[in-house]
Amino acid sequence: MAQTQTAGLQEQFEDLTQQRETSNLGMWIFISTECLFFGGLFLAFTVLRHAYPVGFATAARHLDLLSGIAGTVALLASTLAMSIGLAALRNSDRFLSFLACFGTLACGLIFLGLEGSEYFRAWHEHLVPGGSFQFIGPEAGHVQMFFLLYFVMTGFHALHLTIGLGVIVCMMLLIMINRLHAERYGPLQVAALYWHFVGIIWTLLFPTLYLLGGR
Amino acid sequence: MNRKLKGTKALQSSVRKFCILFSVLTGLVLVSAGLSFVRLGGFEVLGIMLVAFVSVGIIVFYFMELGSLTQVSWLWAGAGLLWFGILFVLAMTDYLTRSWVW
Repeated sequence: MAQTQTAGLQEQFEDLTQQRETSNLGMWIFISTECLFFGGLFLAFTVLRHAYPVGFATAARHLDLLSGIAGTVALLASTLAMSIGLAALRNSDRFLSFLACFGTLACGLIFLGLEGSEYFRAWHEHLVPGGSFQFIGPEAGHVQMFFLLYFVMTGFHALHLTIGLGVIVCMMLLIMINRLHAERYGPLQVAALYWHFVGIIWTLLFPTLYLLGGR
Repeated sequence: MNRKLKGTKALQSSVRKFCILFSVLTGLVLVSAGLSFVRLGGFEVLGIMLVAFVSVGIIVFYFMELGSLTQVSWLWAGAGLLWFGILFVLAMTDYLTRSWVW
């Protein structure tokens, strides 16, 4: 019976490097399927924006640009913190890694707060699609279509982000109990890949939703 | 001791690199926001999306460490991009050419 000589090494792997590379591959496969998931949403938005440019531009101007910029910067800061956390763990600085993960968590929560305030504003202005939607003007139908896509796209992104926040909390706990360290940083590397992917989706969502119609 | 010092230097270098990249990405966000206020006859849309793709490129290459991937991971990353391209290009080709009169 094979003996596991290194802590954290699963028996089907030769060494931790092979285990880490396999985990990374799994995450890249997941990311490539996620590209197709979000790709469908971006495609729907592109087709409808091309069909109804005036309605979509009118609707986009109802979004708060400053809130969008602040959210984007918060998410970029979380990406920065996540990368610092991984680099710190690789270089045996568990305390800095823990702090950086906490920073990532804080930035993610700030982003969710900003998005929540944007949702509240839309609800307050009766821009949530459905029975309570109110918009005066000839483009009302297309504005409602924009907001439907806005809520679906940002909602799915927020769901991914929330899952990511849960994963980061788990990583912080693992760092705290010394299950993650300089020799075994694979799980944090995979979590970082996921988090960066969530950041990439927002990097494309922000200009698509907030900027394309002009201000 | 020497190994620890080396690790600290490597960490400092990584942190510096990530901070510079973060500044560049933040700058790009502001540039794309600025572009939404100018009218360039439709070219502003191209500019905004170009800036977004440059930002994505920076995140993928530097933060997701695309350079240090194994070949099979490269294959999957490329496959994801290829299928995304097929989805977009084929669908838009159909949609944009429907009104053409032959």
